[in-house]
Amino acid sequence: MEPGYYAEMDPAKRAMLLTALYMAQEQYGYLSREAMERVGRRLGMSPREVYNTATFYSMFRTEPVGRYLIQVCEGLSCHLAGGAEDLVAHLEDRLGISAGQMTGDGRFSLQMVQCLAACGSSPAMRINDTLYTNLTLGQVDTILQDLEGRP
Amino acid sequence: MPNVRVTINGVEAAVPANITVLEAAKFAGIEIPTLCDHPAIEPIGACRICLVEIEKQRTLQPACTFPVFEGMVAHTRSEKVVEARRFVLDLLFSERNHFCMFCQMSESCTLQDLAYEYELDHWKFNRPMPKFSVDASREYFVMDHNRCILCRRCIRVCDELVGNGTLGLKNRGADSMVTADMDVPFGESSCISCGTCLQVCPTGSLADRASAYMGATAQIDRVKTRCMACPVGCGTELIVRENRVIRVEGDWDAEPNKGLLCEIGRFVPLHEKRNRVRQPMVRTDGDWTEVEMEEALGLMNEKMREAGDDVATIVSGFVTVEEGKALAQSPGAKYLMHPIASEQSTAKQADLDEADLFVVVNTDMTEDYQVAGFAIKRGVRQRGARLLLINDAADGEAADGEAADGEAADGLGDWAMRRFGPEDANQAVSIARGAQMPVIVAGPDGAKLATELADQIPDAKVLIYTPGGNSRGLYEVGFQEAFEGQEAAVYHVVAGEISRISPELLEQLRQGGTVIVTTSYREPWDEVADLIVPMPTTFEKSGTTVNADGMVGQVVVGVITRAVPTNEIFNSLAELAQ
Amino acid sequence: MTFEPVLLRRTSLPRSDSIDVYLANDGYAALARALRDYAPGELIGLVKASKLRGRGGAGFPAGLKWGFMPQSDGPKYLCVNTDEGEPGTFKDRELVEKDPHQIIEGAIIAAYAVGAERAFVYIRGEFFQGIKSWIKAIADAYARGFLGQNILGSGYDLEMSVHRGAGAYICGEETAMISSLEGRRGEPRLKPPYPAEKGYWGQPTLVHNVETLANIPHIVNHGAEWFASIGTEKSTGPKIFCVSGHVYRRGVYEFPLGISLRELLYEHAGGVPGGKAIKAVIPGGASTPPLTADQLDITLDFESLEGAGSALGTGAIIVLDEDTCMVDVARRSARFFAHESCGRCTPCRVGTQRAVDVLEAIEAGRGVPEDLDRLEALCHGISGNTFCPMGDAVVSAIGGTLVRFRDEFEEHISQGGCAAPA
Repeated sequence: MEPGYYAEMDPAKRAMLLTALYMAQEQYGYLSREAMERVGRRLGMSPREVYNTATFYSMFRTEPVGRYLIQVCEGLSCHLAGGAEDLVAHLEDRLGISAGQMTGDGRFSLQMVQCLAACGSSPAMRINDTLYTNLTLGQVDTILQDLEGRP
Repeated sequence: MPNVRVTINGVEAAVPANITVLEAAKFAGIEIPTLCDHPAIEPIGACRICLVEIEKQRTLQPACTFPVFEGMVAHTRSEKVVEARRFVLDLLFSERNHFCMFCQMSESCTLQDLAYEYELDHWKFNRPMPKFSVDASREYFVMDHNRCILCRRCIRVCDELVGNGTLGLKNRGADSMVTADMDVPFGESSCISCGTCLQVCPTGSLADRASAYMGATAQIDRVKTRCMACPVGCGTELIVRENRVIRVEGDWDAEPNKGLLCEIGRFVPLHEKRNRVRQPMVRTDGDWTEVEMEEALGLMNEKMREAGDDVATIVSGFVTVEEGKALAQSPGAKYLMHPIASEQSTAKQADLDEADLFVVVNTDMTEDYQVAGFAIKRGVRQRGARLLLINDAADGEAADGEAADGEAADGLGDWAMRRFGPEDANQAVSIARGAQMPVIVAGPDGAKLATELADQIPDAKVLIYTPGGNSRGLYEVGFQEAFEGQEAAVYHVVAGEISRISPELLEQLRQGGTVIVTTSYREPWDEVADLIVPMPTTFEKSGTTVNADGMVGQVVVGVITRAVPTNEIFNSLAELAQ
Repeated sequence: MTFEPVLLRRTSLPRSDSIDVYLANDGYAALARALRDYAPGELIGLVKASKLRGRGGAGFPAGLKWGFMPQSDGPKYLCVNTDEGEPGTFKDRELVEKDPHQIIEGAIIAAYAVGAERAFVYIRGEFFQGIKSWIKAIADAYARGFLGQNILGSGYDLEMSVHRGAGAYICGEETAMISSLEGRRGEPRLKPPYPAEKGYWGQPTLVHNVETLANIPHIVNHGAEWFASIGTEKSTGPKIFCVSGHVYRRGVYEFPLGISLRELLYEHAGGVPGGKAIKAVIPGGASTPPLTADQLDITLDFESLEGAGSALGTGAIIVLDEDTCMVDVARRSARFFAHESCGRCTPCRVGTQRAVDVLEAIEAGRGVPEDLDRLEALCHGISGNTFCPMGDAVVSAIGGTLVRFRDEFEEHISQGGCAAPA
């Protein structure tokens, strides 16, 4: 998405806020105060307005998270289909952290989230921008091994 | 606006068609409780305490946002309504810590009043009571998040009325929190201590340090009077208990401030650290001795008589018209302590809320005449009014909107469309032409230029602000010259509460002559005076003031003081002159 | 019932998301026809005649909604609601990822009919693949002249862009979506004024769910009569059902509205694993009250489900077998809604929190008989008294479960916890 292009088309620059926040978050891993101030300057909003808006949305992070953010769906359908709880337990065990925490090396964060819209193919988890569905614990190990092996 | 006929609780009324049920009920003399709604700000329909039953509506509707319609039949105290309100209160009391007996606002709290009214005699739901912080980082008031009901009044007044936008809401749902700027301690934020948030908080979440635990609603009196600190001339309400002012609030019904005040009007008088003068004092051999009033007056008369006409009477803006009239009869020359302009306002301050273009000449409206500055910010933010700044510091170079160095950083700089040096004022004229309602605002140094500009901009009006709450009134009773170092044998400074005094004046008084100061506070006059005579503060006297747009305001006695009414002193001086 | 899919008919084709596959399968024929043969008002009439009802949950007649858009000049907007967040719902994701041009075509026709000059696609932030699909599809549509200036030589211009949400269920509500599109906190706005009067930046705005728009090209191609012949008298057309929970074949299914629930679950979704009995079925996503086992012969359409005290919602069917703990189901729903409450109004912000407290206590064996009174008081107090429709969703989910399975709640309280097999 080219923010400049849309900013010109939109009735107000403010409409680009969510897009701009995503770009800042992608660049820095999270939304620091400085990043939000910069976004505000670009869009003609006060830092306070940027902050208040960013914190409304659960996908914006104002604190650092691990390089790989693992989110496991604990929604109703995933729970019913079974496997979500096992998946979380396995991840906690494997990473040595509880849901809501980050590994000491800053590589992984684990979170429980509501509905990933994968109700038809649970258990499901998301790591950064990738959705994994119909997971087995063996597949989870393979995925983690791959991520652990990356520089 | 045509009227519609409505029936509320059986009372028929014809009300304007463009109002809400809440406003219509007020017309009919029926009160509906509110928490998030406040007459001074836009309704948001959030708290749901004002739910009412409207016939032919499927569900209860919030009175604060629901518009009236022809033939509307509403019930504001039906069983269904009472049940819903009690539910809302049950929830609010379960959300955070609302143990009233420990709260400084107990018995002055809308939430508590409603709990009594709706007979909440037990906790319906469990109260997990998460512990939140108490932000005590501000000088005059604290923010206790444990008492907050998330009504957002504070956020909305900060944004909608003051135009400061310091307060906001972070997170969502039950995690919502009122925060300052990007969640910094309130005391480190962009807050300007106007205290409007404090005045609208319906619980004890925002609590005034000075008046905490000092007086509940039933124990206090409210006295409507005027602030004399600057020429905006705000209407205030003194909250008085036992002959003591415990808090100052903005008078919602008063022009030009409509409830708003600034730090100087609301907090400074109650946090005064200087020593109050209660008894006349004479300096003998460098030491101060308290004397009786009679002796002081005798001394004063003697000194003045000796000097003949070589007397300079210098008055601050804290002097009322009546005091000024008496002083005008005294011997010698008459000066205002502050700069004055001979040009006069042609606009009313209320015009600031209609203007589509502001030109501000040589004054910092965020520093000196703050409440009028709020109106300019409101105009820029809410109506999209354009703001042009003309000041000496801009030097004509800052057309790109960047603040020039150092002192040029005017508090309104961020809001301005353009800044100009005075030599480029013609550029401002060309921008301003075509505005529907241009208002030119100027300080004393800019008054001449402002008036010239008004002649060149069609339909432009000017507002001239000169320092001192009653300078304009004093000008009218004979104080038409600013004191600029004129020599005299006797200086009589009538200071009142003024605290910002030019170093040049103090230096001159230190140099020579007999210095008599009539003042409420000892400092800094005790460094330069020979005789100090007590003067009542604005809270303690009555009289009139004239503000920047010529409106006459009444100063009303809030507390009774031992200090001799100044009129007596001044009248004795007048007798002397004859 | 065998039914030739309408909305999903291309999704099994290889590269079904590409514009070439779409064009090779009647793609954009309806747009050409609409621009050539119909005046905007005639299209509104056509959609009214089709009796198409919105597929986003509320089921409001689409043609009526189009008719509310003012004829006046000045900017008007279309919002394509892809903020699918209702637990149990994954149909829009399927449509966006596998056949995005069908939605774009429907959106252009709708925009043309109401005179909108810009269309915003608001997509749930979590749909990474869907976002890519949207961007690619819109770019391709621009490249082939279906979007932009003078579409297919008609003189009609339409710009379309994708806007990504950021994790807020409430933004599926149309006014909250508009707040979010404007770069604000996704809080709902006061209605009236409705978006058709004052929407995006105060201009008339039409908001439609993805599936609703996907139906439009077919109505133009085959006519309102054909469309109205599918389904029931009051619930016309095909519907995508998302089946999840305790069934063999979870997934999306397309059938005419009015198919029986039993047929869908047993003949098409393969029934319940382990041959277990069904205890309850949530028929329209987490915010609709559950049906009980004796209601399986109900037909899936707006009127039947409303008659049964539930709702068609988004058509997201969650199957709960005999071993499911209904207190746990209610607790999970309550947690979801508490997490997603915007916090503006007291009943939703605090009420959902108190419901979570009570349900967690009951589930954990700490419940007392008065807790059921509290739950009832919460449902009664929230119902109809919130700022936006979310309060009613909460009550449907929690209250709907309590009313139908009260004995299970009582059992939890009397026996000190959950007796259901783990």
